[in-house]
Amino acid sequence: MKIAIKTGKIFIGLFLLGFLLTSAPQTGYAHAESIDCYEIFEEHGTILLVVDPLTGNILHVNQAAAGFYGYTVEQLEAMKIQSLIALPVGEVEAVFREIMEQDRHNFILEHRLANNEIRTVEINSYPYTGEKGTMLVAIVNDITNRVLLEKKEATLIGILFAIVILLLAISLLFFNNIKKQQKQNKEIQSIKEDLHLILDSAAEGIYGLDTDGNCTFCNASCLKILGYADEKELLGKNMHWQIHYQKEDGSPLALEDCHIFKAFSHGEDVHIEGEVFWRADGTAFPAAYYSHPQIQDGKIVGAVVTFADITERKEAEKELLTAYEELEAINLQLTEQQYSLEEQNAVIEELNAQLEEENEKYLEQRETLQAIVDSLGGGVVMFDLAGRITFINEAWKDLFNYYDYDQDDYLEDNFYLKNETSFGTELFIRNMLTGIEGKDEVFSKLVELTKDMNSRYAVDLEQLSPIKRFLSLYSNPCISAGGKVFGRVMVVRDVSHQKEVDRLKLELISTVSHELRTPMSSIMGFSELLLTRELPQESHQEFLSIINSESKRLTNLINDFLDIQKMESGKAEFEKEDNLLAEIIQEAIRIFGNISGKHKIVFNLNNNDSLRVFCDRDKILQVVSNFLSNAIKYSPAGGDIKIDLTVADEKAHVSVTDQGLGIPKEAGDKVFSKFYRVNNDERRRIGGTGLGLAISKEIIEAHGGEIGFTSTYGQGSSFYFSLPTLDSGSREVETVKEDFDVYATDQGLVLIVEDDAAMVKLIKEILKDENVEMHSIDNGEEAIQLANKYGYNLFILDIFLKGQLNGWDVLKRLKGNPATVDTPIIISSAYENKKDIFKADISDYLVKPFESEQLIKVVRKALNGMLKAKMVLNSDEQLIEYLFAVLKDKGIEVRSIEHSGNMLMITLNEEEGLLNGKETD
Amino acid sequence: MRTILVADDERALKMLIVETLKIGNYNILEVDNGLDALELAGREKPDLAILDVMMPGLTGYEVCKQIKTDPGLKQIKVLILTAKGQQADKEAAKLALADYYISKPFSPMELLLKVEEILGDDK
Repeated sequence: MKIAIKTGKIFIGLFLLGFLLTSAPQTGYAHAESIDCYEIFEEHGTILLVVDPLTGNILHVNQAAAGFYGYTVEQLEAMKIQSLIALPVGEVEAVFREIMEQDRHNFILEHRLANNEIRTVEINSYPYTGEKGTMLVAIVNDITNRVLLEKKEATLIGILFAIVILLLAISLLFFNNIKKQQKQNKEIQSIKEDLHLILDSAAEGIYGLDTDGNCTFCNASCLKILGYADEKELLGKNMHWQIHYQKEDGSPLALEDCHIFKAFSHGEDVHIEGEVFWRADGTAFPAAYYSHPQIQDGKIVGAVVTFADITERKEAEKELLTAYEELEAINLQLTEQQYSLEEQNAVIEELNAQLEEENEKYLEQRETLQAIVDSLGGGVVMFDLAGRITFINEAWKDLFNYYDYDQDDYLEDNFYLKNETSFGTELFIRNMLTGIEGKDEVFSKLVELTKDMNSRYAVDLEQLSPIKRFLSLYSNPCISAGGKVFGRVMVVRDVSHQKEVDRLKLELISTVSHELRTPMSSIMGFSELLLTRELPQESHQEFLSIINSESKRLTNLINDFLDIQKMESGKAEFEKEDNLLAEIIQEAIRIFGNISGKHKIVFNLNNNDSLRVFCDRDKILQVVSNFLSNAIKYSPAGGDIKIDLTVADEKAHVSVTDQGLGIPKEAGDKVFSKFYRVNNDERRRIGGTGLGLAISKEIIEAHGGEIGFTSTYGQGSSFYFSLPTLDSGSREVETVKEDFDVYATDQGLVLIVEDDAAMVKLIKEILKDENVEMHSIDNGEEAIQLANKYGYNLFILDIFLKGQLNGWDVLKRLKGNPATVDTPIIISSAYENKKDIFKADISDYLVKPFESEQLIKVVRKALNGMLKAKMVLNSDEQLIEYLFAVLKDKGIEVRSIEHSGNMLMITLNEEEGLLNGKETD
Repeated sequence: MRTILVADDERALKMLIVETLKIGNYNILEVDNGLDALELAGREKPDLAILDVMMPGLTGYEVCKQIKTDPGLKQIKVLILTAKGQQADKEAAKLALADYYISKPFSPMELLLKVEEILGDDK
């Protein structure tokens, strides 16, 4: 309402002003209208001011203005508008300026009245341009009250508003709160639900107690375990008396003894196992429970108990225990086993060590075997089951060492051995078969074999290049002791020599066969003819004579052949004796001399008539005859045959020289081989066995001699042999021997040292006729005393004597004593110990029991002293034997024969027979 | 009348053969070595040659071979004297293209029969 009034006022003012301004001419204030206007202006209640915009001088005011401001009009019109503005001085001007500049027409200021009151005014100003320039007419509205009112209104509104707002806020808050609460409630609800869920999902029974021990809540499991259907059955009930009132054995459990109670009355956590809870149905179960007190603000407000039925667990525990015990037992066993294993280990270690040893031995053996294989003389190659070469021995390499450079490399680097495939094997075989006849076939066969572990194969190969030889190859599978095949072995041998020998043998057989059959044919044939045919007399004679001679021939042949075979095999026996060589030769001459009238045989003795050789007479005769016969046969034209007997180098040389056909140089020593005959026309007619020279050779060589020939083909040959001689010149056998078998002994004094009285008696009995005086003593000490006392000629000593000394001791003493050193001693003992004889210088050694004859002989010999014999002998063993025989025959016992440089020392009886006379070489 | 050539270096044996053949009324030519045998064979062209194996110079085999490979001589029958039981001899005889062989020792009658047989075929 007031606003309306105000607004009205403003409109009027404005109208007036407008009217005023528009209707006012230049004269300033037009009277008519101006007066009207002025009056209006003066009389109007509206406060009006006219201000100079430039200075702010108040030009005119109305009564209302004066009244409002409390000044007179004159006062006001002398003031500036600025002084009305209630602002600090500095600002006033600024504001005024601002208003002016901005040309603001409506604004609100605070004016100060004359009484210093401050009033809020609204000013509406209108510019008026008159004669005096532009002026501002300001209509001032005191709006202080309004303002105040407004203010109050505002404040009120504000307060109201505020209240409203507050209320709103409160209600909002309230509303919020409610919402919150609702939300919280919901949350709580939800939590509660969750809690329930948790509680109910717990397997353990959980229940809460208040301070009285009554159940405040319980979860599903609690009910389930305890066997209650609904929680109402428990809620509010005292749990102790409900479920925990009795012990397992039925005895009551007092509350004071209940741990739960104790616990939450003291505010302690407790965890107990081993007690029982009781179900609704009165049965008990072993329970494990935890009790936690609920504390609020330091006060115990209850407890929560969680429990579980540990029946199963207990059983499980029991089982565990059992299992544990079992495990313990097993562990024990295992420990024991471990010990025994350790023991076994130790044993195994030992075995291992043994194995090592054996392995070493095995390796040694293998090396040995290897060495043996290597030295077998055959090339050995081994293949494994896959046909690869696993071993090549040295001999093989030697056999095939002519290979070119590359091959050597192969062998050196063991190329074949390193070769993983059969290529190496094939190459190897191909190389081996180089230059061998029919190698392609053999190659295929051998390669096949390397893959075949069953077949045995043998083949003879002839190699033509680069060496001419014969090889023998065989290949067998290698089978171990268990019967398992583990490879193949191939052995190659050079059998050229063997082949040659075989060939020769075959040839020999063929020849012999032929040689035998030929005379046989004649004999058979002619005898048949004679038997079946009517033949003339001279034919008879002729045929029979042929039969006869052929028979002889055959016989000779067989004999010769057997002879030579015997000689070759060393089985021939020669009866060797002392012979005059010249005599043998003469015999031969006698036999053959008459056969051929065409030849003249001349024997040149060269003064060797008494040349003696130690030989088999008949055999040497055979040789000489052979030579002679050949000489005659092979000089069909006749001529001289010269026989020379010479001596050189202790050997007797005999040569038979003819002027016949001679022997070609190429024949060489083949001449002395069996059935050898030089082949040509002239010889074919010459008969003979073809064995003569072969036999001669055997004979001469068996006598330690040499045989040979020289020849000029076409002019003649000279065959010779030599034999070791017995040196006839120095062969003086001075035997000063006494035939003590014939003569009785001289008187002699004999000491018998013998502890056996019976033996003494026996000896005395035996020798009673021997012209000896005998003393006897049974111990060595006294024997020596006696020996010193008497001059004995002979001691007969037993070895075993009474007293300290034995027979040998006595012997020593005797020999050590110049008086008795030369006295012969005969040892008579129960024991044979002949070896000692020679060293001991004794006469003889008789072994008891001896024959009387023996004793006599020995005594005689001893008493008859030494034999002086001097002989220089050849070192020929046979001669020595001969000597033994000769001497023995003559009753001379030879003790020993020793070489000493060029001399032979023969110990006879007890003295060494030094051989004087000529010493020979 | 048939001509038989006998070649043998063994006098006794040769004589035996000759004496035996005389019974059969043959013309006999004797030689004691292979060369002569060949020569005589070439000259006289006998109906049969009896050759011993072991002969100096040419052996019986060689002579036989020569005869048998000579177009002018191959018609001559050859009988070789071998050593009994020597398989090699028989083989060699065959190889030498001998017509017949007889092994030593043989009975003369046996020889005679054989000869007749050989020469009888040629009628």
